Amino acid sequence: MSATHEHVDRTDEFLERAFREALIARGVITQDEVDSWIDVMYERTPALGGRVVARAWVDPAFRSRLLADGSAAVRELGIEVGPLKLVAVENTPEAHNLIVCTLCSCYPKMLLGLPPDWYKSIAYRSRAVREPRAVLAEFGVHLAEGRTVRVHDSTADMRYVVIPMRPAGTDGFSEEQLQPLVTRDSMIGVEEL
Amino acid sequence: MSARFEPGNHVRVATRDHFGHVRTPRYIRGKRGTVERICGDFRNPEELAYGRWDGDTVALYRVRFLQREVWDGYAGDSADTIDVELYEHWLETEEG
Amino acid sequence: MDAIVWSLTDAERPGGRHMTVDELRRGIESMPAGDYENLGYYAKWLRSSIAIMAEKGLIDRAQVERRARELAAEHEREHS
Repeated sequence: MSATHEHVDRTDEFLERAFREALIARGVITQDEVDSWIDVMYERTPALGGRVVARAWVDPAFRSRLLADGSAAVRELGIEVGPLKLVAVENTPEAHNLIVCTLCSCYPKMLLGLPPDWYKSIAYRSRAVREPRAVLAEFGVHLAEGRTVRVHDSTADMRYVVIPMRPAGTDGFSEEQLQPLVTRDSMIGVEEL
Repeated sequence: MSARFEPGNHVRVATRDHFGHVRTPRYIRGKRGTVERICGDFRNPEELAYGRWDGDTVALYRVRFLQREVWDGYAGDSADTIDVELYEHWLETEEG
Repeated sequence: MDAIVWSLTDAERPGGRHMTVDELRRGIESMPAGDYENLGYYAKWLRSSIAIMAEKGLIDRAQVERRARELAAEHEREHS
Protein backbone atom coordinates (compact mmCIF):
# COMPACT_ATOMS: atom_id res chain seq x y z
CA MET A 1 0.00 0.00 0.00
CA SER A 2 2.72 2.41 -0.99
CA ALA A 3 1.30 5.85 -1.68
CA THR A 4 4.08 6.60 -4.16
CA HIS A 5 4.91 6.20 -7.84
CA GLU A 6 8.34 4.71 -7.00
CA HIS A 7 8.88 1.30 -8.54
CA VAL A 8 8.47 -1.32 -5.83
CA ASP A 9 10.30 -4.62 -6.09
CA ARG A 10 7.64 -7.38 -6.13
CA THR A 11 9.39 -9.09 -3.21
CA ASP A 12 8.87 -6.00 -1.10
CA GLU A 13 5.24 -5.76 -2.12
CA PHE A 14 4.55 -9.23 -0.71
CA LEU A 15 6.68 -8.60 2.36
CA GLU A 16 4.83 -5.36 3.03
CA ARG A 17 1.47 -7.09 2.66
CA ALA A 18 2.49 -9.91 4.97
CA PHE A 19 3.78 -7.40 7.53
CA ARG A 20 0.59 -5.34 7.39
CA GLU A 21 -1.57 -8.47 7.73
CA ALA A 22 0.43 -9.62 10.76
CA LEU A 23 0.18 -6.22 12.44
CA ILE A 24 -3.57 -6.10 11.92
CA ALA A 25 -4.15 -9.76 12.85
CA ARG A 26 -2.31 -9.21 16.13
CA GLY A 27 -4.24 -6.02 16.85
CA VAL A 28 -1.13 -3.86 16.78
CA ILE A 29 -2.81 -1.47 14.33
CA THR A 30 -6.15 -1.51 12.49
CA GLN A 31 -6.99 -1.43 8.78
CA ASP A 32 -8.99 1.76 9.42
CA GLU A 33 -5.91 3.50 10.77
CA VAL A 34 -3.85 2.53 7.76
CA ASP A 35 -6.63 3.65 5.40
CA SER A 36 -7.00 7.03 7.06
CA TRP A 37 -3.24 7.70 6.85
CA ILE A 38 -3.40 6.83 3.15
CA ASP A 39 -6.18 9.40 2.77
CA VAL A 40 -4.13 12.00 4.62
CA MET A 41 -1.16 11.45 2.32
CA TYR A 42 -3.27 11.81 -0.83
CA GLU A 43 -4.49 15.18 0.45
CA ARG A 44 -0.98 16.48 1.03
CA THR A 45 0.52 17.89 -2.13
CA PRO A 46 2.76 20.83 -3.07
CA ALA A 47 -0.45 22.79 -3.79
CA LEU A 48 -0.77 23.26 -0.03
CA GLY A 49 2.69 24.76 0.07
CA GLY A 50 1.70 26.90 -2.90
CA ARG A 51 -1.12 28.45 -0.85
CA VAL A 52 1.31 29.34 1.91
CA VAL A 53 3.85 30.88 -0.45
CA ALA A 54 1.23 32.86 -2.38
CA ARG A 55 -0.10 34.32 0.87
CA ALA A 56 3.45 35.26 1.93
CA TRP A 57 3.93 37.03 -1.40
CA VAL A 58 0.84 39.23 -1.03
CA ASP A 59 0.79 39.75 2.75
CA PRO A 60 4.02 40.97 4.41
CA ALA A 61 2.62 40.60 7.92
CA PHE A 62 1.78 36.95 7.21
CA ARG A 63 5.28 36.48 5.80
CA SER A 64 6.78 37.75 9.09
CA ARG A 65 4.60 35.41 11.11
CA LEU A 66 5.49 32.54 8.79
CA LEU A 67 9.21 33.18 9.25
CA ALA A 68 8.80 33.36 13.03
CA ASP A 69 6.66 30.22 13.46
CA GLY A 70 5.97 28.21 10.34
CA SER A 71 3.42 25.75 11.76
CA ALA A 72 1.31 28.44 13.44
CA ALA A 73 1.18 30.51 10.25
CA VAL A 74 0.20 27.52 8.13
CA ARG A 75 -2.64 26.73 10.54
CA GLU A 76 -3.99 30.26 9.97
CA LEU A 77 -4.80 29.11 6.44
CA GLY A 78 -6.80 26.17 7.79
CA ILE A 79 -4.09 23.64 6.92
CA GLU A 80 -3.87 21.18 9.80
CA VAL A 81 -0.30 19.91 9.92
CA GLY A 82 -0.45 17.80 13.07
CA PRO A 83 2.95 17.44 14.76
CA LEU A 84 4.87 19.18 11.93
CA LYS A 85 7.32 21.75 13.28
CA LEU A 86 7.87 23.92 10.26
CA VAL A 87 10.65 26.46 9.68
CA ALA A 88 10.12 28.67 6.64
CA VAL A 89 13.20 30.30 5.10
CA GLU A 90 12.93 33.04 2.49
CA ASN A 91 14.87 33.54 -0.70
CA THR A 92 15.96 37.16 -1.25
CA PRO A 93 18.21 38.96 -3.70
CA GLU A 94 20.94 38.45 -1.07
CA ALA A 95 20.42 34.77 -0.25
CA HIS A 96 19.22 31.51 -1.78
CA ASN A 97 18.16 28.63 0.46
CA LEU A 98 18.52 24.88 -0.09
CA ILE A 99 16.99 22.10 2.03
CA VAL A 100 18.44 18.65 2.64
CA CYS A 101 18.40 15.90 5.25
CA THR A 102 21.84 14.29 5.27
CA LEU A 103 20.98 11.71 7.93
CA CYS A 104 17.89 10.20 6.30
CA SER A 105 15.37 12.16 4.17
CA CYS A 106 13.29 14.29 6.51
CA TYR A 107 10.79 16.38 4.59
CA PRO A 108 7.66 18.43 5.49
CA LYS A 109 5.29 15.71 4.26
CA MET A 110 2.24 17.05 6.05
CA LEU A 111 2.56 20.23 4.00
CA LEU A 112 4.07 19.13 0.69
CA GLY A 113 3.26 15.41 0.45
CA LEU A 114 5.92 12.84 -0.41
CA PRO A 115 9.43 13.91 -1.39
CA PRO A 116 10.91 13.21 -4.83
CA ASP A 117 13.26 10.22 -5.24
CA TRP A 118 16.29 12.41 -5.92
CA TYR A 119 15.82 14.16 -2.56
CA LYS A 120 16.15 10.78 -0.83
CA SER A 121 19.23 9.71 -2.79
CA ILE A 122 22.61 9.28 -1.11
CA ALA A 123 24.09 11.51 -3.84
CA TYR A 124 21.86 14.51 -3.08
CA ARG A 125 22.10 14.07 0.67
CA SER A 126 25.91 14.09 0.65
CA ARG A 127 26.51 16.68 -2.08
CA ALA A 128 23.94 19.33 -1.16
CA VAL A 129 25.81 20.17 2.04
CA ARG A 130 29.32 19.97 0.62
CA GLU A 131 28.87 21.50 -2.84
CA PRO A 132 25.47 23.22 -2.94
CA ARG A 133 26.36 25.52 -5.83
CA ALA A 134 27.35 22.59 -8.06
CA VAL A 135 24.11 20.78 -7.16
CA LEU A 136 22.09 23.92 -7.87
CA ALA A 137 23.80 24.38 -11.23
CA GLU A 138 22.87 20.81 -12.17
CA PHE A 139 19.25 21.72 -11.43
CA GLY A 140 19.63 24.76 -13.67
CA VAL A 141 19.92 27.31 -10.87
CA HIS A 142 22.74 29.75 -11.57
CA LEU A 143 23.04 32.41 -8.92
CA ALA A 144 24.07 36.01 -9.51
CA GLU A 145 27.45 37.20 -8.31
CA GLY A 146 27.50 37.95 -4.60
CA ARG A 147 24.41 35.93 -3.72
CA THR A 148 24.88 33.80 -0.60
CA VAL A 149 23.80 30.17 -0.43
CA ARG A 150 22.27 28.97 2.82
CA VAL A 151 21.90 25.23 3.25
CA HIS A 152 19.58 23.81 5.92
CA ASP A 153 20.24 20.28 7.16
CA SER A 154 17.06 18.88 8.66
CA THR A 155 18.85 16.86 11.34
CA ALA A 156 16.31 16.85 14.16
CA ASP A 157 12.70 17.78 14.82
CA MET A 158 12.18 20.74 12.49
CA ARG A 159 11.10 20.51 8.85
CA TYR A 160 11.80 23.14 6.23
CA VAL A 161 10.10 24.97 3.39
CA VAL A 162 11.68 27.60 1.17
CA ILE A 163 9.67 30.69 0.25
CA PRO A 164 10.89 31.32 -3.30
CA MET A 165 11.10 34.84 -4.68
CA ARG A 166 7.98 35.98 -6.49
CA PRO A 167 8.51 35.70 -10.25
CA ALA A 168 8.70 38.81 -12.41
CA GLY A 169 5.62 39.84 -14.37
CA THR A 170 3.11 38.88 -11.66
CA ASP A 171 2.23 42.33 -10.36
CA GLY A 172 -1.46 42.56 -9.63
CA PHE A 173 -1.98 38.77 -9.67
CA SER A 174 -4.46 37.48 -7.10
CA GLU A 175 -3.47 34.77 -4.63
CA GLU A 176 -5.43 32.24 -6.69
CA GLN A 177 -3.40 33.20 -9.76
CA LEU A 178 -0.13 33.04 -7.85
CA GLN A 179 -0.68 29.66 -6.17
CA PRO A 180 -0.20 27.44 -9.25
CA LEU A 181 3.09 29.20 -10.08
CA VAL A 182 4.72 27.71 -6.99
CA THR A 183 6.45 24.38 -7.65
CA ARG A 184 7.56 21.66 -5.26
CA ASP A 185 11.16 22.06 -6.39
CA SER A 186 11.12 25.81 -5.67
CA MET A 187 10.03 25.03 -2.09
CA ILE A 188 12.98 22.65 -1.65
CA GLY A 189 15.31 25.24 -3.12
CA VAL A 190 16.42 23.58 -6.37
CA GLU A 191 14.39 25.85 -8.61
CA GLU A 192 13.88 29.58 -9.02
CA LEU A 193 10.51 30.66 -10.40
CA MET B 1 12.29 26.19 29.54
CA SER B 2 15.80 26.94 30.72
CA ALA B 3 17.82 26.83 27.54
CA ARG B 4 21.53 27.26 28.14
CA PHE B 5 22.20 29.20 24.93
CA GLU B 6 20.49 32.05 23.18
CA PRO B 7 20.48 33.40 19.61
CA GLY B 8 23.79 35.03 18.79
CA ASN B 9 25.87 32.89 21.16
CA HIS B 10 29.05 31.39 19.70
CA VAL B 11 29.17 27.66 20.25
CA ARG B 12 31.33 24.72 19.27
CA VAL B 13 30.04 21.25 18.46
CA ALA B 14 31.54 18.48 20.61
CA THR B 15 33.99 16.11 18.96
CA ARG B 16 33.18 12.95 20.85
CA ASP B 17 32.29 9.70 19.13
CA HIS B 18 28.85 8.40 19.97
CA PHE B 19 28.03 4.72 20.03
CA GLY B 20 24.53 4.17 18.70
CA HIS B 21 21.89 6.36 17.11
CA VAL B 22 22.76 10.05 17.05
CA ARG B 23 21.52 13.06 15.10
CA THR B 24 24.75 15.07 15.12
CA PRO B 25 26.29 14.65 11.67
CA ARG B 26 29.99 13.78 11.65
CA TYR B 27 30.82 16.65 9.30
CA ILE B 28 29.79 19.26 11.89
CA ARG B 29 31.56 17.83 14.94
CA GLY B 30 34.22 20.12 16.31
CA LYS B 31 33.00 23.06 14.22
CA ARG B 32 32.29 26.55 15.49
CA GLY B 33 28.99 28.30 14.83
CA THR B 34 26.44 30.81 16.05
CA VAL B 35 23.05 30.02 17.54
CA GLU B 36 20.41 31.12 15.03
CA ARG B 37 17.35 30.24 17.16
CA ILE B 38 16.10 28.07 19.99
CA CYS B 39 13.74 25.47 18.49
CA GLY B 40 12.23 24.21 21.73
CA ASP B 41 12.51 21.25 24.09
CA PHE B 42 12.41 17.73 22.65
CA ARG B 43 13.06 14.19 23.81
CA ASN B 44 16.57 12.98 23.11
CA PRO B 45 16.61 10.83 19.95
CA GLU B 46 19.62 8.92 21.34
CA GLU B 47 17.23 7.59 24.00
CA LEU B 48 14.09 7.34 21.84
CA ALA B 49 15.92 5.10 19.40
CA TYR B 50 16.24 2.36 22.04
CA GLY B 51 12.74 2.35 23.43
CA ARG B 52 13.48 4.80 26.22
CA TRP B 53 10.59 7.15 25.60
CA ASP B 54 10.13 8.81 28.96
CA GLY B 55 13.46 10.54 29.45
CA ASP B 56 14.01 14.22 30.11
CA THR B 57 13.70 16.70 27.27
CA VAL B 58 16.69 18.52 25.83
CA ALA B 59 16.84 21.97 24.25
CA LEU B 60 17.24 21.93 20.46
CA TYR B 61 18.92 24.76 18.56
CA ARG B 62 19.51 25.79 14.95
CA VAL B 63 23.17 26.71 14.69
CA ARG B 64 24.65 28.54 11.71
CA PHE B 65 28.11 27.74 10.38
CA LEU B 66 30.25 29.27 7.64
CA GLN B 67 30.67 26.66 4.92
CA ARG B 68 34.32 27.64 4.44
CA GLU B 69 34.95 26.68 8.09
CA VAL B 70 33.15 23.35 7.73
CA TRP B 71 34.67 21.96 4.52
CA ASP B 72 38.31 21.93 3.45
CA GLY B 73 38.51 23.52 0.06
CA TYR B 74 34.87 24.66 0.03
CA ALA B 75 34.19 25.85 -3.52
CA GLY B 76 31.64 28.59 -2.99
CA ASP B 77 31.16 32.05 -1.59
CA SER B 78 32.95 32.95 1.62
CA ALA B 79 29.61 34.07 3.08
CA ASP B 80 27.80 30.78 2.34
CA THR B 81 26.32 29.15 5.43
CA ILE B 82 24.91 25.87 6.63
CA ASP B 83 22.32 25.66 9.40
CA VAL B 84 22.14 22.47 11.43
CA GLU B 85 19.77 21.48 14.25
CA LEU B 86 21.73 20.38 17.29
CA TYR B 87 20.74 19.26 20.77
CA GLU B 88 22.13 21.16 23.74
CA HIS B 89 24.30 18.33 25.06
CA TRP B 90 26.32 18.46 21.84
CA LEU B 91 27.16 22.17 22.20
CA GLU B 92 29.84 23.92 24.21
CA THR B 93 30.44 27.63 24.77
CA GLU B 94 33.00 29.11 22.43
CA GLU B 95 34.69 32.25 23.67
CA GLY B 96 35.16 35.02 21.14
CA MET C 1 4.51 1.96 3.50
CA ASP C 2 4.17 5.54 4.81
CA ALA C 3 0.70 4.66 6.11
CA ILE C 4 2.00 1.64 8.03
CA VAL C 5 4.90 3.61 9.53
CA TRP C 6 2.63 6.48 10.52
CA SER C 7 0.12 4.12 12.09
CA LEU C 8 2.93 2.61 14.15
CA THR C 9 4.68 5.87 15.12
CA ASP C 10 1.92 8.46 15.56
CA ALA C 11 2.51 10.00 18.98
CA GLU C 12 -1.16 11.02 19.21
CA ARG C 13 -2.38 7.52 18.55
CA PRO C 14 -5.19 6.44 20.89
CA GLY C 15 -3.82 3.39 22.64
CA GLY C 16 -0.27 4.66 22.29
CA ARG C 17 2.34 4.41 19.61
CA HIS C 18 4.30 1.21 19.06
CA MET C 19 7.50 2.63 17.65
CA THR C 20 9.28 5.95 17.22
CA VAL C 21 10.84 7.19 13.99
CA ASP C 22 14.08 7.26 15.99
CA GLU C 23 13.89 3.49 16.46
CA LEU C 24 13.11 3.10 12.77
CA ARG C 25 16.15 5.19 11.86
CA ARG C 26 18.35 3.30 14.30
CA GLY C 27 17.22 0.08 12.65
CA ILE C 28 18.14 1.45 9.24
CA GLU C 29 21.53 2.71 10.44
CA SER C 30 22.44 -0.69 11.83
CA MET C 31 21.88 -2.46 8.51
CA PRO C 32 24.89 -3.95 6.77
CA ALA C 33 26.52 -1.29 4.56
CA GLY C 34 25.71 -3.18 1.36
CA ASP C 35 21.99 -3.20 2.17
CA TYR C 36 22.03 0.44 3.15
CA GLU C 37 23.49 1.46 -0.17
CA ASN C 38 21.54 -0.87 -2.42
CA LEU C 39 18.09 -0.97 -0.93
CA GLY C 40 15.61 1.71 -1.85
CA TYR C 41 14.13 4.10 0.68
CA TYR C 42 10.92 2.15 1.33
CA ALA C 43 12.73 -1.19 1.31
CA LYS C 44 14.88 0.08 4.18
CA TRP C 45 11.84 1.31 6.11
CA LEU C 46 10.09 -2.01 5.61
CA ARG C 47 12.99 -4.12 6.84
CA SER C 48 13.69 -1.83 9.76
CA SER C 49 10.02 -1.76 10.85
CA ILE C 50 9.82 -5.54 10.71
CA ALA C 51 13.04 -5.87 12.74
CA ILE C 52 11.91 -3.36 15.38
CA MET C 53 8.41 -4.86 15.71
CA ALA C 54 9.98 -8.32 16.03
CA GLU C 55 12.43 -6.97 18.61
CA LYS C 56 9.44 -5.78 20.62
CA GLY C 57 7.74 -9.15 20.29
CA LEU C 58 4.76 -7.63 18.44
CA ILE C 59 5.15 -9.80 15.34
CA ASP C 60 6.79 -13.10 14.49
CA ARG C 61 9.37 -12.30 11.85
CA ALA C 62 9.69 -15.86 10.54
CA GLN C 63 5.92 -16.06 10.12
CA VAL C 64 5.85 -12.78 8.19
CA GLU C 65 8.62 -13.96 5.86
CA ARG C 66 6.84 -17.29 5.33
CA ARG C 67 3.60 -15.51 4.52
CA ALA C 68 5.43 -13.21 2.07
CA ARG C 69 6.80 -16.28 0.26
CA GLU C 70 3.27 -17.78 0.15
CA LEU C 71 1.90 -14.57 -1.39
CA ALA C 72 4.71 -14.55 -3.94
CA ALA C 73 4.04 -18.18 -4.87
CA GLU C 74 0.29 -17.51 -5.23
CA HIS C 75 1.04 -14.57 -7.46
CA GLU C 76 3.40 -16.70 -9.54
CA ARG C 77 0.69 -19.37 -9.99
CA GLU C 78 -1.98 -16.86 -10.97
CA HIS C 79 0.21 -15.08 -13.48
CA SER C 80 2.20 -17.79 -15.21
